Amino acid sequence: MKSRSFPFIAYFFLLPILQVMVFNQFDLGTQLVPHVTLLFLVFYPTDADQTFYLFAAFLYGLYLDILHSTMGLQAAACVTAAFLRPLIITSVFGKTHGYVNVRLQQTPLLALSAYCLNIVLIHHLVYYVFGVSSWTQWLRIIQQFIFGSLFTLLFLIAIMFLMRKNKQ
Amino acid sequence: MQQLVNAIIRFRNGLVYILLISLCIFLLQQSSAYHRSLIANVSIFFGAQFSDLVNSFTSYTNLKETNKRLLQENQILLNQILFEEKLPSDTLSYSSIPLQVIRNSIINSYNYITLKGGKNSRVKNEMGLVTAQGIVGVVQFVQPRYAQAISILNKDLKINAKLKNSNHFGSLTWTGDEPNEMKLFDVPKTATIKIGDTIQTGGMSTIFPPNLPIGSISNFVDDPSKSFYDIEISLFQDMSNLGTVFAIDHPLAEEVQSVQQSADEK
Repeated sequence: MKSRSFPFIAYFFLLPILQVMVFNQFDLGTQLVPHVTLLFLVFYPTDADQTFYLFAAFLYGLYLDILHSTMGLQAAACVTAAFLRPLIITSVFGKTHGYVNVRLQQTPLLALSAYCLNIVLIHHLVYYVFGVSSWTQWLRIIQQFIFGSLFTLLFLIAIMFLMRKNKQ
Repeated sequence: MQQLVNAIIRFRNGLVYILLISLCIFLLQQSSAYHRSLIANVSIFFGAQFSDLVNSFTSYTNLKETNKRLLQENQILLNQILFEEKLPSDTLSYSSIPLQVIRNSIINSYNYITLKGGKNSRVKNEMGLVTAQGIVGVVQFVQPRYAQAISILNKDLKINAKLKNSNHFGSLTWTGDEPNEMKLFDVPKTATIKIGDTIQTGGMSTIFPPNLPIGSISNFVDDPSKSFYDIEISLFQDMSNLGTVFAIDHPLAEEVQSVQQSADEK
């Protein structure tokens, strides 16, 4: 268990730094960037204690908030995605499957993408709704939510695809 | 009692979620600028280092854009000389400190700008940030090598502004709509205004010198039940495209502030 948690501690600290230094540069105008930091929430072991996972997601979000000056926005989005993850797993992988451990190699890419899409949608929904500066801009918020989610999903799938190829 | 404990254990994840999300909402709704600045200070310490490193690479790829902006700024300054507009420095010897923007947000309700340059470059709190196109923000937190400023696209910030043609004053603030639009409140209806009129800084504080350009009137509401206009301003400065900004050092800032403070005490 302890050796298994080591890569996740590394992801916890390194992914946000990678996000700031590399992925924030993929700015599609209007500050739309791919949130690849969600990989931590996606691949965190599903058989681990859910309460601990919620706290880990909260701290992870706060860490992202500190790096981006967003004051609790990422924390709220990460905690909500983490809270709803068991529901997403049962809806994507089926109830009979139980809380399967989502593994990069064993899980089909299509199912993995559907699972990522749900996590991304929940995260981005909270992120853009909580971060809204004015409701008169609802059309812009919907646009940012849709395009931001697709952009992030595209990057997550590409990264997962490359990692699978690399491991094979 | 046992049943209550069992219920808490059973729904602990839901309770933990409610607790954590409440904490997030509390952080988001912090109305105190002091608390926000405290978090911002931690953010500068960690975030600015990375952003600066990235910026040192990306600045090379933006050279073409920077050159274009410099040409535009030069043109504006040349026009000011040619048409003999009175520069704000005619009455007081303001000095400016060039600072590089290494991080800038425009999509949140409370946006901030992180700058490369701090106490070591003589940057102080409450210095106004400007470009040739207009005002940008106010320095809020200073560390030795970096500083954090409140962007004008921050709901906390209110700026004293006036109409160029008539000197009527108002309070300029961002309502969270478009990042290139702000609103000017409290301009009395005795003022004659029209779309396209220029708005400038009022100079009623030590942050911005008077007569700096801000934007032009894009729309206004003349509500008969109110004695003030609601004016929409289109900013001259594109806030999504900031390269180098200038921190304005008011020569008599401390003196003016101490006079104001003693007047307030009386």
